Amino acid sequence: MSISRRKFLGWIGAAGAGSAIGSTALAGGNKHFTGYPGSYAVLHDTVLCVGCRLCEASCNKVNELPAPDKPFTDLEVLNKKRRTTAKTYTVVNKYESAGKKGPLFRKIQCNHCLEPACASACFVRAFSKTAVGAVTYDSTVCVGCRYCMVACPFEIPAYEYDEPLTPRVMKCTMCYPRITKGQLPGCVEACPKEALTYGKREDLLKIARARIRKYPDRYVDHVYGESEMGGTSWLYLSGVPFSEIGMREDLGITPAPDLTSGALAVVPMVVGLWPVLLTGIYAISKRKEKIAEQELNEAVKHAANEVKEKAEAKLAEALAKAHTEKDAAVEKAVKKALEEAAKSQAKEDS
Amino acid sequence: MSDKATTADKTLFTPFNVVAGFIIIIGTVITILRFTGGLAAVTNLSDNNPWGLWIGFDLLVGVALAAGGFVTSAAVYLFGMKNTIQR
Repeated sequence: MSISRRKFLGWIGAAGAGSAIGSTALAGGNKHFTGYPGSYAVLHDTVLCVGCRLCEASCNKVNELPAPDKPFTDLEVLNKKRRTTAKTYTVVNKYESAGKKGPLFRKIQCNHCLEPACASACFVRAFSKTAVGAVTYDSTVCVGCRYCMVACPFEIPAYEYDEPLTPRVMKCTMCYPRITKGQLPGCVEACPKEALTYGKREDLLKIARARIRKYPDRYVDHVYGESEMGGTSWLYLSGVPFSEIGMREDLGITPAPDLTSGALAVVPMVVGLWPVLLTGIYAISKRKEKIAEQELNEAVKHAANEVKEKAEAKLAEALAKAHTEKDAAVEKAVKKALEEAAKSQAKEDS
Repeated sequence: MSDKATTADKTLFTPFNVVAGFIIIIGTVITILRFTGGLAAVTNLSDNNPWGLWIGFDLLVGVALAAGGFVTSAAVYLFGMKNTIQR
């Protein structure tokens, strides 16, 4: 098969253009992921939450986590803002709002994003978004880099810093082992006020909107988690602006993987192309050296030959000269002898 | 320089050895603590600060600083620029 220069350049150009616009072409499509159909979620109605911490106790029990320093019945704990840790998958925090009398409560745990930032940051794929809705973690492949903790916009994953050899990243599993068996997540089961509702995400969105419609003066007209960071499997309703109950409102609706997939998609190409390119350059520079050496050798050989030939020619010339001189001398001697012979002959004749 | 054949009467406690030995002893203690008490025993890392100076500086800045080494070795070994330095 013969490839013309024009054809080759055409292919190279097409490959370059293809790799340059490949990701943007995808982003220009009208399809985007809105979660697995029929996946499950939890709706947290913060208006109904009374801060009893029964969900925390239940979570601790069903996940077999170590006992806390203070018992779950101690509501003094609520006076301090807490976050999830390696020993607590969920915490309830207390907030004050100027517009409402009495405290407000919000439960914090993994929001189980539809397109999780932790999973997109993890290079060993320890996290996966399961079809039922839970974002699960596999400690057997985890290398402990804590990228997930840096990536998570909700600051949920926690790390077992006191574990010397096998530290794990710890976070809410949405009770994956329980929901796949048809049971409720531990926290939802324990909630006495039905501030937590478990069900299909589509249904929960309808329920949330129905509540907002029915009690417009009780709720803020927004379902947090419907589109935050591309949507989450944990939805929130609130009576005050979400920032007042400690929730970030600056996250936008772009899923975290969308922000990084363009750059990360180039990685395999770089890994594939650079070794080839650098090996090629190495081969070229090696070949250059080899050719230079060959040329040098040839030049030396040529020069040596030239000198040799010149010397030979000189020798031959000298030999020829000597030969002719000798011939001339012989001829001369013969001539002389003949003349002498002729002279003596003439003397005898006379 | 000394022209004595033996070094037997020389002390090992040179300034360099003292400093290096100090670092090695502290490092050994920290290593033992790390592998008995976990990262919490030897670092101040927390759930809110999962990356400390180690990754923040050593990895992210150190690798960038090492780029000079990559470029030099590539120039010499890959591009064959072995005799470009004029003396």
